[in-house]
Amino acid sequence: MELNRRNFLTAAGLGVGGLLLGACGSGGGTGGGGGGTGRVSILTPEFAGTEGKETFEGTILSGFPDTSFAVDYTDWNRLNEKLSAAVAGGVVADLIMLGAGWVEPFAHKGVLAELPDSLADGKAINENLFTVAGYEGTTYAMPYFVDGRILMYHREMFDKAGISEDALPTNLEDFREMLKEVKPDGGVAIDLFTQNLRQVWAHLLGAFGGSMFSEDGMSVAFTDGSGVDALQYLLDLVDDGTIDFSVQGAEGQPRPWQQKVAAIDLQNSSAWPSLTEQTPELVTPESMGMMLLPSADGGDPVMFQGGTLLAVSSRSKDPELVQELVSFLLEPENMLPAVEMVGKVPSRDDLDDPIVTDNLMATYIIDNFEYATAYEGGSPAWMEVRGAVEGEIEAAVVGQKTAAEAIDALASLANDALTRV
Amino acid sequence: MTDVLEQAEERAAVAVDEVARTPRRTASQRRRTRRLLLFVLLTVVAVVMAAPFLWMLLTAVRTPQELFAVDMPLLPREWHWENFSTALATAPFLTYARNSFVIALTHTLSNLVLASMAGYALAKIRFRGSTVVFAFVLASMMIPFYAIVIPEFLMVRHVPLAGGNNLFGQDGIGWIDSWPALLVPGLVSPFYIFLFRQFYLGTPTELMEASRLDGAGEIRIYSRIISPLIKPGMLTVALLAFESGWNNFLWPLLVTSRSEMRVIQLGLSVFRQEAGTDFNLLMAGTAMAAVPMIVLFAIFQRQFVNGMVATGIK
Amino acid sequence: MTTTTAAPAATGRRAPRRQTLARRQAVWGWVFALPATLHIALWTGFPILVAMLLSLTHYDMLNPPSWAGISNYTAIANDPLFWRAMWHNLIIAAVGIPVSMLLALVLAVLLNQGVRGTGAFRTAVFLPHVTATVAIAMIWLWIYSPGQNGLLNYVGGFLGIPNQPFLNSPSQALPAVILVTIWQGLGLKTMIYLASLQTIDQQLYEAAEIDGASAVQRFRHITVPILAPTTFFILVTSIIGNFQTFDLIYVLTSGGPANSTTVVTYEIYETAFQQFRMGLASAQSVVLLVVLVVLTVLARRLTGGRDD
Repeated sequence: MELNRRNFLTAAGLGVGGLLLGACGSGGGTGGGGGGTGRVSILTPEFAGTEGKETFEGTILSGFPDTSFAVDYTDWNRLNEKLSAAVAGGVVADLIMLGAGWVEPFAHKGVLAELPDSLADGKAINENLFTVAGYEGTTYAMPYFVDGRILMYHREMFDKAGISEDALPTNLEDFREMLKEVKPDGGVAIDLFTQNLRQVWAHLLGAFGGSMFSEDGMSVAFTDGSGVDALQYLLDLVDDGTIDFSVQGAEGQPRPWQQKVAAIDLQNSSAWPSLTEQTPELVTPESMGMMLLPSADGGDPVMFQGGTLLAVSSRSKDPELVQELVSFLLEPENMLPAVEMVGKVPSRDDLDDPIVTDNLMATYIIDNFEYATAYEGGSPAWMEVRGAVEGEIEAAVVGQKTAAEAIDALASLANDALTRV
Repeated sequence: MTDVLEQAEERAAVAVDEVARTPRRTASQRRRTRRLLLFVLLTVVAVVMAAPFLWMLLTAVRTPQELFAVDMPLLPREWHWENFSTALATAPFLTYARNSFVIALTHTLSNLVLASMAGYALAKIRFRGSTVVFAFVLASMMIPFYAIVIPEFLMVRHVPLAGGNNLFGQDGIGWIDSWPALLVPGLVSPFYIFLFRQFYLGTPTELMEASRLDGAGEIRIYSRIISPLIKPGMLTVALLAFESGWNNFLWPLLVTSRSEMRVIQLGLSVFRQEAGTDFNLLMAGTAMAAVPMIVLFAIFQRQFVNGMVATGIK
Repeated sequence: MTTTTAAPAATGRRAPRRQTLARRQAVWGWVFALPATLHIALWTGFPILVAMLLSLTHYDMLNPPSWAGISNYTAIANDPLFWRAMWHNLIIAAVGIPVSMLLALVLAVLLNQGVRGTGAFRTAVFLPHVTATVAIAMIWLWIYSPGQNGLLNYVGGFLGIPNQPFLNSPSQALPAVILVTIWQGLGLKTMIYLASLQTIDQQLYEAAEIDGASAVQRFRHITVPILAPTTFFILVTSIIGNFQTFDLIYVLTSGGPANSTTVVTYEIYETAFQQFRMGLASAQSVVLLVVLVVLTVLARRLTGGRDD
C-alpha cells in the first residue's frame, strides 16, 4: 500500500499535486470576490429574480451599515453543486443559506463556523426549531424560514363523510379508519406520493416515535422497529386503497388534491403562495381544514420540519461582522419583507402582521411549532444515505420488497456510511 | 415561432391548392400524387415533433387558475399574452441573453476555426500520431461532465496571476466571476472535431494533390479549396455550437456569482422555485429563449439545396 | 483506430520526393491539429487525468483527498444499483439508437425532396433539440400524467383504454423514457444526415439513373455508402450521448420509481453531489469510460470496421 501511494504521488506530478493542494482549500481566500472587512458575500437559494433581489438587497441589506454585499442567487436544485465546487476551490461565501439536514455534514467537515447561542437572544425563535441547526451540541445555524408538513383537507369531503372538525382522529389506527370514509369515488383518501416519499416515511417514522439516527448521530436508530412500522403503515394504506402510487402530481401538474381526486394532501407550507394563485377557491377557511399527522399511540401529533437556515462560513475573514448580519436578518423589521417576498413561514413566532397572519398555513404552523421536529438527518452520514431512501421505500410501495427488506437494505447502507464518518 | 408556423400553414394551403388546380397531365400525375403523400406524411411527423412546443405556447398564455383547474380546456379560455412580458420582467433576461449570446458566438467562431482545422488534419493529412489524437478526441467525450467539473473548476480558480492569484494560483479567485471562465474552457469541443473530420472524409483528396501541383500552400488548400466543399458541415457546426453555447447553464452557474454574469438558462430557473413552479411563465420564458435558435435554424436550413436528384427518389 | 490516417509507415516504399512531401505534410498535420488538441488536452484531458487519480482516493470535496487504493472500484463491483443503471443505459441505447437513427435517415431523405413547406418541416423536426430539456421534460410529465389530466390518458379515455400510470409504474417508466429520448434526439440526427446529403455529388445519381438503377438501388448503393462516415459519427455520438443522459431523467423520474429508470450519469451525480463522494464518483466515471471505449470499438465493427 505504501509503495502504491508513493507511485501514485510520483505519477501525480507537479501540476496535479498543485491542483489537489488547491482542493484542500488551503488558499484561504474568502468567497465570491470578497475579503476583508466591510464586504460580505452571500450564497442564497431564496430571493430569486428581479423582485427578490430588490427586496433582499434593496430593502433588507441596504439597512445594514457600512458593508457592501456580493449576493449569489443559486436555486435549491443546484445548491449542492455550487456549494461543493465553492468549498473545493476555497471560495465559499461568508453567509450561506442552506436547508435542514445539511448542517450536520457540513459542520462535521468543518465548513461552517460555530455560532454563539446568544445570537438567538430576544429573537422569539421557538427552541424546537434549533434541532436542525446544530451538530454535537453546538449551534451552527439560525433558523430563518420554516417549512412544516401538514395535512390539508377538503371540508366538503369530510362533511360528506360525517367527520367533524372537533372529532378528528388522534392516533394512526383511527386515522386509517377515517381515510376509508373520506375517500372520494374514483380517487384516494390522501395523497402521500406527490410529496417527497423519503420525507413522508421520515414523517411517519416520527409518528411511530422513531428517529433516523441516535442522539450523537453515530448509529442507526430506525432499526428499532419504528422504521418498519412506518413503512408497513404506508403499505397498509395501499392495501386499503386509501392511497395509490399512480395518483400523484408531477412538477408543473396539478396535485390530486387540487383536482379533488384526493380528500387530504400532505402539503408543504412553502406551497402557500402557489396554492393561493392556482386554486384560490380551495384554500379559504371555509373550504379547507388543516390537521397534523397523529402519532401512532395517540400522543402528541407530529409535524415534519424543514426550512432555510443561516450559517456562517468557517473561512470567513470577519465572522463577527457576518454574525451581526445574521442577527440583523432575524430582526422583525427585516424579516417581514423577506417573508412577504418568499411566502414562507418565519422562524419567529411574534410577527403579528397580516403578511404572516393572512397565510393560513403559516399561522397554523406557527401555532404548532411545539410539535415540529426534523426527522431527517441528524448525522453527518445522512448525505450518503438520503439519496437511497426514496428508491427503497418505492420498491416496497410497488410491491418489489417487503417493509422489512427495504428497511434492512437502508440500515445496511446507513451503517456502511457511518463507518466512513 | 408562430410566424414560422403560420407560414407553414399558408404554404401547406398553397400546396394543396396547387395540387387541386393542376390540370390532368398523365406524365406528372403519379409524381404529384407521391408528392402529396409525402407532404401529408411530413405534416404528420412535423406535428408530432412540434406538438409539445405548441403545447408550451398554449401553456404560456394561460392563467395559473386555468392550468390547475379540474377541466382545463384544450385551448386557453383567455389568451394572456402579457405572460410573456411578465416573464421577461421576472429576471434581467436582457443581460442574461447578452451573456449567452457572447458565449454562443465565441464558441461558434472558435469551433469553426480550431475544430475544423483539427478535423481537416485528422481526415485529410497523414501524420504520425493522428490515430492517437483521434482516439483522444473520442475518449474526451466519454467522461461525464459531473466527473471533471470539480477539477475544471479548480483549474479556473487557480489560474496563476489572475483575479488576485499569485504565481502558484493561490490567494485570489482566479478566473471566477470573469469572462475567461465562461469562454475559455469551451473554445473547442471534441464533438465538433469529430463531426468536422467525418465531413472532410467525403472530400476528394485528388483535388488537394492537384492544388499542390499548382503550387497552392497548405493553408490555402484547407481554407479556400477543401473547406468550401463542406459548407453544409460548416453551417451545421455553427448552428450546433451556437445552440449549445446559448443553452449552457451548469458551468456558468458554478464559475459566476454575480447576476450580471449569469446566462439565460439560469434565468429560467427563477420560475422553478421551492414554493412551486410558475408553469405558464416558465413556458413563456423557455419559448422566448428558444426563439433565437428557431429563427437561426429557419435561416440556416435555407442554405440547404432542395435536391430531388440529390437522393434519387422521385 | 482509423484506416485513413494510420499509414505513415508506408512512406518508406515511396520515391524520395514523395517522402519529403509526406514529411512536410506531416508537419502541416500537426500545425492544423495542434491548437485544438492542446486545448482539449488542457481543459478536458487534464481534468480526466485528475479524475482518474481521484478515483483512487476518498474525496468529499470539503477535505483534502485521502488515499483509497482500489477500494472505490471494489465498491462499484459490489454496487448492484450502479450496474442496474448501466443496464438501463444499455437498454435505452439498444432500443433507442437503432430506431432513432433509422427514422433520422429516412426523415433526412424525405426532407431533402424539396416538397413545399420543407423549411417549416425541417424546423419542426429540429424544435425539440433547441428547446431547453427541463421544459421538454415538464411537457412530457403532462403528456404522461397518470390521471385524466394527462394527454395520453385523456386520449386513451376516448378509446376506452383505462388510465395508465406510465412514469409511475416500474414496468412502464423505462419505455416511456426511451420514447422521449428518441423524440428529443431525432432532430439533431436528422439534421446531420441532411447536411451530409447536401455534400453528395448529384452526378452520381444521374449516372446511376442512366444505368437504370431504381430509386431503392440508388439509395442503397449510393446514399448509404456515402453517408457511412456520418452514420459512424451519429452512432458513436449517440452511444456516448445516451450514457450522458441526465437532465431528462432528473426532471422526468429522478431515476424512479424504485430505481427503475436510473442511469449511470444520474448515479454519478448522486454519488458526487448528493453524497459528496467524489472519489467514488470519479471511479464510476472511469468505469463508464472503459465501457464506452468498448462500445465504440464495437460500433466501429458494426459499421463494417470503417469510420470513413
